[in-house]
Amino acid sequence: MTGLDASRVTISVGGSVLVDEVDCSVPHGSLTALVGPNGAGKSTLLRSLAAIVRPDSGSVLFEDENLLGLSRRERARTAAIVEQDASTEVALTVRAVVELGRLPHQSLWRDDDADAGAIVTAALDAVGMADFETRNFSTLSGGERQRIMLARALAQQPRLLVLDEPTNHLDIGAQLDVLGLLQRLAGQGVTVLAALHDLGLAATYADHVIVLRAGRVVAAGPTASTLTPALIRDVYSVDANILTNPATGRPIIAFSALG
Amino acid sequence: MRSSLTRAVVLGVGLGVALVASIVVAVTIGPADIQFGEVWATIGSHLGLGDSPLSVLRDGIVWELRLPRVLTAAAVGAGLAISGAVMQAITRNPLADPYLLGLSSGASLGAVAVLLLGAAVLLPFAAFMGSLLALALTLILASSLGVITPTRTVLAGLAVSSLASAITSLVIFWTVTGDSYREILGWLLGSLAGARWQAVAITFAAILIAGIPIMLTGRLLDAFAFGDVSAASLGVNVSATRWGLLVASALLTGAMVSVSGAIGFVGLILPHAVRLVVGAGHRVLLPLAALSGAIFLVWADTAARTVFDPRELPVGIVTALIGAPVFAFLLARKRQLT
Amino acid sequence: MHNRIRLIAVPALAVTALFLAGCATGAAPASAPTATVDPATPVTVDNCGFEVTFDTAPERVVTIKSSTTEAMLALGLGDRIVGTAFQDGPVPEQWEADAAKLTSIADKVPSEEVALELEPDMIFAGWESNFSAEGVGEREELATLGVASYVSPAACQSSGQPNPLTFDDIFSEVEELGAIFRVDASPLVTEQQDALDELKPAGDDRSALWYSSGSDTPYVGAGIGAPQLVLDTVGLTNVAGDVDATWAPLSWEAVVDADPDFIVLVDATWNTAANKIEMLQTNPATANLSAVQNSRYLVVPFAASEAGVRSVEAAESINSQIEELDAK
Repeated sequence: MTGLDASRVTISVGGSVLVDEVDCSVPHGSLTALVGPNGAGKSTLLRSLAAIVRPDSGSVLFEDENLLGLSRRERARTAAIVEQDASTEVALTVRAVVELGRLPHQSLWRDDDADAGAIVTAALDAVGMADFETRNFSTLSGGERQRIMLARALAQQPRLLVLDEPTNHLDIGAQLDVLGLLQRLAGQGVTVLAALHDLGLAATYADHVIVLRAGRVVAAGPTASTLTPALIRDVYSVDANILTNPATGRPIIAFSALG
Repeated sequence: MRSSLTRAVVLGVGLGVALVASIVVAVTIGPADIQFGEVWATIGSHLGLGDSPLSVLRDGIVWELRLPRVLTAAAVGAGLAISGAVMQAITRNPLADPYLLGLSSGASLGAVAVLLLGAAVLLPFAAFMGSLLALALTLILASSLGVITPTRTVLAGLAVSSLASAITSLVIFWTVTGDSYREILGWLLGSLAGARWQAVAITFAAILIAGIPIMLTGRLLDAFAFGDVSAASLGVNVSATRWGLLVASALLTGAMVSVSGAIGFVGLILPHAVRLVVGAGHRVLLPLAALSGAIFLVWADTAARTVFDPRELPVGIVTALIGAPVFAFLLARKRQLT
Repeated sequence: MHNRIRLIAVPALAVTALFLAGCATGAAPASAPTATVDPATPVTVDNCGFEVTFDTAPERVVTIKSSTTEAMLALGLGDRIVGTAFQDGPVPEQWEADAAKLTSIADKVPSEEVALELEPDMIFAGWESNFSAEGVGEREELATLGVASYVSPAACQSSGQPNPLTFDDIFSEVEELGAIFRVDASPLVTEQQDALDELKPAGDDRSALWYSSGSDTPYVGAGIGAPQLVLDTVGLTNVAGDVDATWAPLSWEAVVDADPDFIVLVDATWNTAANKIEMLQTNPATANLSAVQNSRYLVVPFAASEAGVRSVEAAESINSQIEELDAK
């Protein structure tokens, strides 16, 4: 089954080109990391890949379908995006926020299916926030909010999950939990694409990686073969030593300043 | 959680009963001393249930003055509360009220114009057209600045409101004589003194045509909580939903204002007060805010027409007297607001 | 702009005042009654809590509202009026000729500049609110410019409001006016007092509503002002008599509950008696009032409805209207 295929995607905002003729593929049922320096255009690209934003030119297909051609609700049942820094002035409980994820599955006339409650609870469990159900969303810390927004995306039951820096505000334990969760989801057949600023985590957890710089794809492919010291030096201007974690067999990157 | 939905249903039923009780009791209160039983017997006689124990005049007090006024108060209170909650959700601004987008200033201009031309009979129509015109201007102005965002819409609304208010003030200043100033002031403050059966028809129709459909979109309003992009990612047609809600809200508010003038604080305070009790989920908030708004205005108006018996206050003064301290209280507890 | 006017106005007025003072003689104007007070003795009055001194009789008066214009016409002082403003309607027949010579300087309250242009030495206002920055000017400021400000005492709001208003108040107002202008007001007062004494109240303690304006909420004559005085004089009970105000907004319910025997309609050009009748008839609650069903209406022109030299006439008119209706 094909995953996410972007072809010559270009997005300009206010005269500047943020995403420039990007070709990339995210294999089906894999965890792919989108990496690159700040300002590379990752957030913008993610939005077009999740069919939130229409590219100025180029095409985006998921499972051979143009998501933008679907109805809004069908699209929302297929793809979900977790953005950075979600905030609101509205006094919603944590559970209410996660319940919003069921919106694409409901209509004005028909209430949600009987499993909705269970799905929401499962989503909260998956991110380890079940105890926070009745708390006011705005009282949560940045990391806790991030996990709730992930739970909301899970409640949408998407086949394509796009995340923008999902580990930003999390402590190391939570980071590993979230990435482990994303890996499991990939294993269950969900196509997962996450922008990560931590190359180390990308190297350890992602099956594939796409490297973006100044709106262009510099390299893309399986993590081990793509994230080479040469590439890292070129894109990030640091030295990298790729090792293998004896316990897990996964790559670890040791960084040092350019010598 | 099931229990919070159950709680909401219980509250809803409770408020519904309280509203009916409020109407039943408020109709029997007033400067004229008429017994409870007589009031309801005379109302019954109009519904074909027996004869009226009252003289034609006293029956007129109940049937032509009190009953339509109490019913209108309930409808206006409900409509303003719904509209206020919708405005707060769409603009993501807890200080929004139903009049935000020039609606009340436009209606005031229309109303003042016909009051001064002596065509008071056209007042509801003129006020309604005034509010729609102001809304149209607001939206045109907001979109001329680029993509319509909540902030732009609010700013455009402020501009249109200021313009309409300025013109209204000019018109008043230019043409008013000592007497008509009083009438205009009453309208500007918000008053239900002129509510007859026509007002009942207008306001109930507005609730039916605009208020109830709005209440059915509760879930969509929740989706707006995290912004447009977030709402879009949940499959919401953001611009259609927003426009639809704005127009419905404008229809609702315009109808209410055309009947009673710009009664303040109801649309601003009631949604917050209800949120404090049941949280911000709009499926629950909208109906409960509507019921609470109705009860509140029924009693505020009863106070307005009895506290200084035989004199009457415009109800807008009462809602401001109550609303301002309550608003200050809510601001002081702002942590619970957000 | 305003300051420039002041700079010119102060010396101009000072010169004018000196000039007029120099010209003042003991002879009274040909059409007015003989002066009985030494014109050179200053007259000081406490007017709504504000002290005003008239060193000599004012010669150039701007009147605001009909009550003040008519007060001066009644005392034969029409030739001292240099401008009128905010008049409420035509004057009664007996003063028509004099009134025809008067110039209106504004339909509403004139601005300070417009009034000062006429170089008045007195501005005589029918409502205390006329003296404000947005109106014809603040009283202190006018005083520094040598313009005496005077409010019809029955209309005082800030202090000195008669509570309740009596005919003695009205007559002493007329006498105070006479003292200010150094004319003898006693003939006028005597004439009005006699008319009052001759009046046989036809009201018979029946009830009345004094309906001034308003459709949703009626604005009515209440317990302490001119409406109450007139109703008392003709022997009618005011349904709003308990309300401690000159005029007040009432509820229709209270009116319907009282079912007044008569309804006094204030007839103003901007809100006619006919208009009010139509409103009463179309309002389903008031259509059944006995006064409406039987057309027991008593009409009084607006200018006569405010306290002043026409109050006696208003009482007489209403009284004879009652007699006419009773005769039917």
